[in-house]
Formats: sequence, structure tokens, C-alpha cells
Amino acid sequence: MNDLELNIIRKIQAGKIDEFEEIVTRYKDKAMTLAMRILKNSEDAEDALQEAFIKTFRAIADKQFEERSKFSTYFYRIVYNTSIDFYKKHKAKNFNLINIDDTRRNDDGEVTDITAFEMKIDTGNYQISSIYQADRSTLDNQMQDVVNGFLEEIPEKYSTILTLFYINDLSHDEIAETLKLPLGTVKNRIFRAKDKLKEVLMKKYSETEILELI
Amino acid sequence: MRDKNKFIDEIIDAKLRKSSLKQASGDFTSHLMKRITAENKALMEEKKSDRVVKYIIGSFSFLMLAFTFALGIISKTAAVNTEESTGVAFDTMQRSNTWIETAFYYVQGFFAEALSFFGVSLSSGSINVILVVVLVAVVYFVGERLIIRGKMKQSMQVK
Repeated sequence: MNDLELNIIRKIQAGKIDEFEEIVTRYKDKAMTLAMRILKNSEDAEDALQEAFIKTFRAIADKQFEERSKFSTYFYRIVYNTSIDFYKKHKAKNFNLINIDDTRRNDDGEVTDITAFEMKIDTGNYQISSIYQADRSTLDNQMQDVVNGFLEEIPEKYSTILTLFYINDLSHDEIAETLKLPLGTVKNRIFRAKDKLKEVLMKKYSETEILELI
Repeated sequence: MRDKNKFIDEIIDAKLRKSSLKQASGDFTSHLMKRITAENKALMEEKKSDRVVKYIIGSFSFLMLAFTFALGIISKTAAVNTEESTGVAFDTMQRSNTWIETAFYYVQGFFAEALSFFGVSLSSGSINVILVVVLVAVVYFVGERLIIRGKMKQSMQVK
């Protein structure tokens, strides 16, 4: 844990609760991204996040949080568990059982499997012909949109791990600890999700176009 | 070919890192901080009442300890004065003493056996003291766990 965070935590424990705002400002967007990956709805994600922050505050104030562990790992575990509880309480029960290749439906009953996602790219927003004429930055943005869309559409068990790894900056070990999964499963899911993303990108863009972005 | 793949992987990594952050609504922090202030107040109240509960459990344990010692002294005195003692109240106490004593001697005997198994031999007085202290500790921790931790768990169910 860095000194600044440790300092903030000690101040909170000494009764300066306004200091907690610093933690909220620091973590809210990254944590919101994680909650959104699970709940797929900003209203629910915000509710779960409020609950997660309050649990974190209590843990700090009650000195349940042990300073030897990394605060971000501890906090994201609370966010993850709270979001999962929220999901189970408010949504479908078949959470996390689907595979990256399987068909799934969103809240409106719409099919949102990877194939549907690829079709959407084919038919809608991403005009391959225009990409050939696009300059580097347009190509860069379009490719970023494909990646963002991919993260929205893939099953939670993959998008959550990718978010924890790439956005929340947790290591493989920390993700395994947070999600209570074997290390091998974490690595495998990251590998499979990245592989799938690569497949999606390679279908849309030529190798030369992708390599242009180096 | 291997280099190309490596570069593509690097680009994918970079894109994933840059993937869009979801932003909480504008009033998220102010709303949360209001709830935190209320939560902090509740926490303070809870700490106060926990302290009271701890005192109550502590006093109860102390009373139990004192009562046990007093009972021991009374039973000894009663044994000495047995010829002079008469009356219903005394008989009742004697009977209940006998029941408590039987149970107590059984536990004491078991404890002494267990200690002698490890090569430790203590006088019955020392064993009594240890047993009473263990009993009081058990009462205290069970009480603390059931009441205080139970309350804490309840309050963790955030409104």
C-alpha cells in the first residue's frame, strides 16, 4: 500500500471522515467500470458501488482492514462481492455459467453472443471499406470502439477478469485472490478472452492495418 | 511472424488498457459522503452501546466468579455447622449443592486425569480456580460473540 493511502486511512481512523472523499475520488471510476461489467446497468452499478464504499468505510473505521494487504485489492474484492450479491438479489440466477462462445441474452431478452456482436460490427457501425481510407487516428479510434464493444458483450466471467487486470491494475495472483479462483483459471480466461478479441479484430482489419498502430 | 504476433498482442494489451472507464454520476460523491457521515454517526453510537454491553457481560462474569467462590465457602462452612443447621431453605441449598458438586467433581476429576496424562499434577484447589476462570472466560467470549458480533453483522447489512 502506498504511503498516501496509508496516511488517508490513518486519518479516517482518527475520525477525519472527510478524508474518505479522497479515496472515493481516486477509485470511483475504476470501481464503477468493474461494477458495470457485472451488472450491465449504471443505476444498479452505482447502488452496488455506494454499498461497497460504505462497507469499505466501516472496515477502515473498525480497523478490520489490515494495513499489510494492498488497499486496492481489498477494495476491489468488496466491489466485486457486493456487485455479485446485488446481481444475485436482483437479477437472473444463472450468473457466470455461460462460456465465451455461448449465446446469452441481456435484460431485454436480446441475444448478445459474440457472433451477434461480430454481426453488429459487420452490418452497422464499422464500415470496413471506409477503414481503408481512414487515417491512423480514425483507425485507432475505431479499433478502440471495437475493443470497448467487445468488453461490453462478452460474458461477465471474462470481462470482469480483463477489467481487473487491465483497468484496475491487479496482478494475476491478486485477481485469483479476489475472485477466489485458481491462478491457472485466471490466466486461462485472460488468454482466451484476448484470443477471442484478436480473432474479432483480425476479421475486421488486415494485419497491416493493425500493425500500423504501433 | 513471431514478431508480428507479439506486436499485435501488444496493441491488444494497449487497447484493453485504454478501454473506456465508466463514470459514476455527478452527485455520486456528495450523496455517498452524506451516507458516510450518517454511517459514522451510527458507528459511534454502536461503539458506545458495545462498551455498555461489554461492561454488563464483564460484570456478570465477575458476579459469577464471586458467586462460585462464595458458594464454595458457604458449603465448607455448612459442612462444619451441619449438626446445628436445620430448616427447609438449608435443605434445598444442600440438595442443590450436592447436584452442583457432583457435576463439578466430575469435571474436576476429568480435568485432573487429563493433566496427569501430560505429567502435570495440581491440587484440587488450583484445578478449581482454573476451571472457574475457564468457565468465566467461556461465558464472556460466548456472550461477546453472540451479542456484539451479532450486532455488528446486523449493522453490516447496509441500508
